[in-house]
Amino acid sequence: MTKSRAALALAPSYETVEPDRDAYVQPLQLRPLTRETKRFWSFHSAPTTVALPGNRFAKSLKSFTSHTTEPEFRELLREYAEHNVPRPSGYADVFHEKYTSPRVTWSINATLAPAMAGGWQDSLRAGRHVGVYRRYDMRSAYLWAATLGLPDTRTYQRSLSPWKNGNRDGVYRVKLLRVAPNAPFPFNSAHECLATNIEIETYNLAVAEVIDGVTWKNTVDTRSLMEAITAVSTWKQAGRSYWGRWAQMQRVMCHSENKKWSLPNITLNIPWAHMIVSRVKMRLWENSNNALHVFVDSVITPEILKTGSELGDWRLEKTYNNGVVIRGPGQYGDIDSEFLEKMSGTAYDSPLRRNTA
Amino acid sequence: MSRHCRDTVARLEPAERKRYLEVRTRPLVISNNISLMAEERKKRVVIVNEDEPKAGNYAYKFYDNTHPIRGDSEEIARMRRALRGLRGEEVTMVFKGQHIDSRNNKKRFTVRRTFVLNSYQDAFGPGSAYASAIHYIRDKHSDDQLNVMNFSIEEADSGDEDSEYDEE
Repeated sequence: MTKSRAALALAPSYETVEPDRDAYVQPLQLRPLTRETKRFWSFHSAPTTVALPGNRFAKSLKSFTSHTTEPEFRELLREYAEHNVPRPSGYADVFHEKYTSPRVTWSINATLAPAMAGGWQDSLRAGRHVGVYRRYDMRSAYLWAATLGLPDTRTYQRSLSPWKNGNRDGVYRVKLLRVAPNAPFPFNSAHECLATNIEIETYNLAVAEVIDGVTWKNTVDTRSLMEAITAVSTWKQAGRSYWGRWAQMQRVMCHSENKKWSLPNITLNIPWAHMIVSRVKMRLWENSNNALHVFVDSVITPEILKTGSELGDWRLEKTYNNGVVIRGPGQYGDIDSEFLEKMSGTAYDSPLRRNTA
Repeated sequence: MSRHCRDTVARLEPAERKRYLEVRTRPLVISNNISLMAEERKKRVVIVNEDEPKAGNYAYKFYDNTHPIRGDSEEIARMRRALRGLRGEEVTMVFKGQHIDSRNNKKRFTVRRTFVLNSYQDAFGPGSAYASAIHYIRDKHSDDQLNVMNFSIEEADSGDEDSEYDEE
C-alpha cells in the first residue's frame, strides 16, 4: 500500500465493507472476501489482508485485542496515521516503520532457526499447595531484555567452540549429553537446542556436540529501538510482539487467481530473538528456586521477591493467602475459589475450570 | 625495476636488500616478465576464520567483510596483504568450504576461479572471483548453509574443474 491510494483519504469502514473505503473486518468476515476477490495474503493459512476492487484493502481486526470497540480502534488508527502507518496490521507496525532491523544473511539463520525455542511455561510442582504464595510478573519483560543491548550483526562470525571464544559471546546449536532437569525449557526436556555460552555455563549444560554457532564482538546500543517502541501509546502491546519478526520462520503467502507464492522474512535474526527470550528465561530461573509455576514472565512462589517500577522489575500481581492450586502449565487458581483463575482457551465459567484438582 | 626501487635497493645493505626483494612490496620488483607465482612455485593459503579454522565463516558474511566499500577494514587489509605482489598476474583462487543442509549433512566443496588480478575488486566484492564462486554454490544448494574455510592463490592452473565431495 502506498500513500497515494485514494482510499487512504477516507477513514476505513469498521466490520463492514463499503465502496471507496478500506475495511477492517473480523477474521470470519475476511474469509468470504478471499473467495470473491481471489487476491489476498495469508499467514499460518489464515487470511490477513484481502485486495478489494478499486485499489482498496480489507484487513483483519484479529491482532487488535486491546481495541475491541469502534471508537477505540478509530483512535488507534488516528494515532498510528500520525506515525506514517495509516493501515496497521498489528501493534508492532509503528515499531517496524520507525526501526529498520538489520538484514542477516540466510546462512547465519539456517541451522539455528529449527532449534529456536520460545518462553518457559511449566508447572514445576502440580497439585494443591497450602500456605502463602505470591504471583509475580516481570514488568515489560521482553522490552527489558532489549535494553541490555543486542549483538552487533556486523561482527557475526561462525564458531563451533563455545569454550574457546573468551572475548566473544555467541549462540550455539548444541546437542546435549543429557537433559538438565533443573534448567528452564528447553534444556530440561530437549537434547538439541540453542544455547548461549552464558547459558551453557549458568545451567551447567553437558554439551556433546556443537552443530553450529554465531559469535559477536560486542553489543549495539538499543536506544533507537526503545524510542521506536515507546513512540506510541500502545507501547506495552508493541513491547510484547516487536521481536516476533526476528524469530518468525513462517512465510507470508501471496495468493492470486492462478498461483500462490511465499515471501521470505527478510528480518529473520535468530541470534537477536534468542537473546531476548534467553534473558527473560534466565531472570525467571534465577527467581524460581522454590517456585510452583512459571509462565513466560510470571512466577508463583512462596518467596518474597524485590519489586520495583522499572522495566524488568518484579510486580506483585496477587497473593494467595491460603494456598494455590496448580493443575498444569498456565492452569492455576486460588485454593479457595470454585474455578481456576487461569486456564488458557477455556471460558471462565466452564466446568473444565472447576477447582477439583 | 622502477627508479624508486632501484634507488632503494642501492641504499640497502646486502642482507636488507635480499629481504626487501623477498618481501616484494611492489610488483614492479619482478623483472624480465618472470611470473611471481612461477618464481615462488608455491601457493598462498589464507584461513578465513583464524580463531577457528575448522569452523570457517559464513560465505556471505565473509563476502560482506571483504567488500571493498562497505567491508571490514581489518579484513580488507588482511586480504590485500594476501594478494600483495600479484598485480597483473594470472592467478587461480581455490575456495574451499562446506554446505550444510537442514538435516546437518555436511558436504565440502572446492571452487576454482582463474583470472588476471588487476585490482582487489577482481578477487573480492561484487562481480569478483569470490562472488562468482559462492553464487555458483548458492545456485546449486540454495537452501543450505554455506561456509567458507580457506582459499588459496596459486599460479594459473591447467583448468581443473570445480569439485564437490562428501565430508569424511
